Amino acid sequence: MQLQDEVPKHDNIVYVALIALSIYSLYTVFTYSLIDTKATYTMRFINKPEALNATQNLDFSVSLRTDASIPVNFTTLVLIDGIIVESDSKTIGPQSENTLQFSLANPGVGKHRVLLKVFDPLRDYDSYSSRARPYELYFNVDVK
Amino acid sequence: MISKQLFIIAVLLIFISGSAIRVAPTIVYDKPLKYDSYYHVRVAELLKETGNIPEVFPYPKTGRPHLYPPLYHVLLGFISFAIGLSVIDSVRLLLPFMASIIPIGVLWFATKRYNYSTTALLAMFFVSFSPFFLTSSFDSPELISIFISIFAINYFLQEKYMQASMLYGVSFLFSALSSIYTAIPLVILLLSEKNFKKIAILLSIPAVTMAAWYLPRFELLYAFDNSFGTIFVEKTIDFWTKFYTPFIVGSVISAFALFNLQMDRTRKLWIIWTLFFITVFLTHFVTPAFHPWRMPIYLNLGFAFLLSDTLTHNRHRLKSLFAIFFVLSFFLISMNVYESRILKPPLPNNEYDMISWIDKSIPNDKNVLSGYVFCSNLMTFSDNNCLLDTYFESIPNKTAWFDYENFFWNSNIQFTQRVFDNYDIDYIAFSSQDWGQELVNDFDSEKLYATWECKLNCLRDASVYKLNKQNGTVKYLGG
Repeated sequence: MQLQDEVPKHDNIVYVALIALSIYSLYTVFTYSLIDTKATYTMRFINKPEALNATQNLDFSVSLRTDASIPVNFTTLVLIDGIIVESDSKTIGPQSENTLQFSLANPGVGKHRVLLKVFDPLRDYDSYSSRARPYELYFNVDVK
Repeated sequence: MISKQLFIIAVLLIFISGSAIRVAPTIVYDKPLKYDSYYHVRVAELLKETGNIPEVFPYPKTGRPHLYPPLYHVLLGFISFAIGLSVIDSVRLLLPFMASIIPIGVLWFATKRYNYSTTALLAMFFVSFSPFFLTSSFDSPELISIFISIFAINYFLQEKYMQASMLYGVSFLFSALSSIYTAIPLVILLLSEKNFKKIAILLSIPAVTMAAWYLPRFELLYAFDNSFGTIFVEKTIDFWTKFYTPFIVGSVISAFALFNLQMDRTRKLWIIWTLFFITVFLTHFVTPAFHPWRMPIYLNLGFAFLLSDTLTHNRHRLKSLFAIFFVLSFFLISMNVYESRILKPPLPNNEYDMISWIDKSIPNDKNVLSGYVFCSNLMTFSDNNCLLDTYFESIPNKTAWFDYENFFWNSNIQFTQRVFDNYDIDYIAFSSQDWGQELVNDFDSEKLYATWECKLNCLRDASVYKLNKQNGTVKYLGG
């Protein structure tokens, strides 16, 4: 059964309204843009020792890559078993891959955790604690 | 004469602008935008490579009974083979294409079922600019099922039950849940008419198709370690569902209030349809077992027909209704365009680089644990397997999967220790959306990779940890 209510088959005002809405939609699809100013950073080990003799230096290197359009001045900290043994600063970017090389005095016989922290004090902070939030990598080394 | 020309122009513009909203996000990115698609990519790739789908799917690492009906994956494999596209590109393009032609199906249906072109055009408009159809345009073959259902429902209303049954059989092979859901309102209508024989005819071919697919896999159903209402506990109703559903439910109720039309079978069906899907949606307050987050797309279909019918027939009595419709439409379009532009692949680009690094640096036989979104991407874009996957139906070991998933939400050292002791995990990959890195720092582990994104502030990093397991345990070093 089809419907028998008395209404006009065509309705020009509705058609014009829908045409206007569709044109508005097309216009906004092609003109709308989100401002996206993000930058990414990637940090990984290039090489690191698994085990050392007590006479060897503790050498390791890290790659820090960015696609940021402006340079950022990073503070770097190296900690062995929680104690800061080296601090430095390094400018990273724009759009570059930097190698951070470290050569540290041997920490002595035993197992040690070597921790690298990098952060930009002006920007990398935790909004909850308002403290610096460093990004970090770490590895373990067994000195015999 | 000018009416017909305006009608054709309006149809073309609604189709073009609706398609543009759906296609724009998918051509900006080279990856599927919703993580469900990554599962379908892997099934279709396996089908393309081996010619069949094994009963136990090799992803994730522990394997999983494969019960998903096959036709979507066959179609993806065929498109990929016939056109020479990769399976990933086939997934990216097929669903937005289907989402774009659903409004044409709606126009066709409404033209057949209603005497007035205005009703048909409004129904097409409501579906074309539905935020639910937009967000469903990138992840699930239920869109194909819905498209088929439109034609099945037309046969149903013409009382051609065998033809409707055949289409439901095909629909089932694309999406089991969608075909079952869309058939229920039809069965309710027939029940209200006490037409039991017609119910039998309508359900005959889907029943045979379901039996043909599931019976050979009957033993696999025992692996369906999946109790209703618990396994979906992590699934939550998202912003769009929360925000729009009250709007839509409210609109439908308004439509009912304005309804003073002659009640025929078509209107009766859409009222039953809408009430049924509102009911299923409301179950999310009790249990998430019935996929209530998927209901808005079905609600929207019933809503589009009901509201367009009501608007058409009340236009001369209530002109202010049209003013409200016009303002709401501006709102709807603006939200759609915004939603279309913020749709992105599940992971940011730097985390896809992390997947490449894992592919190169971690041997394939090692067990990698990550959240299901990252796992799903890792298994799709690398040769590494993973311990979790999307789609929580038919999982081989519910306890393990719960533990894996909760690992990324816990802040308890004992729980972390238990996971490390009970399961063979070599590496953990955290996406920036996951929690729990700080706990892993306190165990005997190494953090090998970190990547983070900065806008105004910098976000939590995504990272890869290696666990050092000795004598079956990972030693706690903290405290």
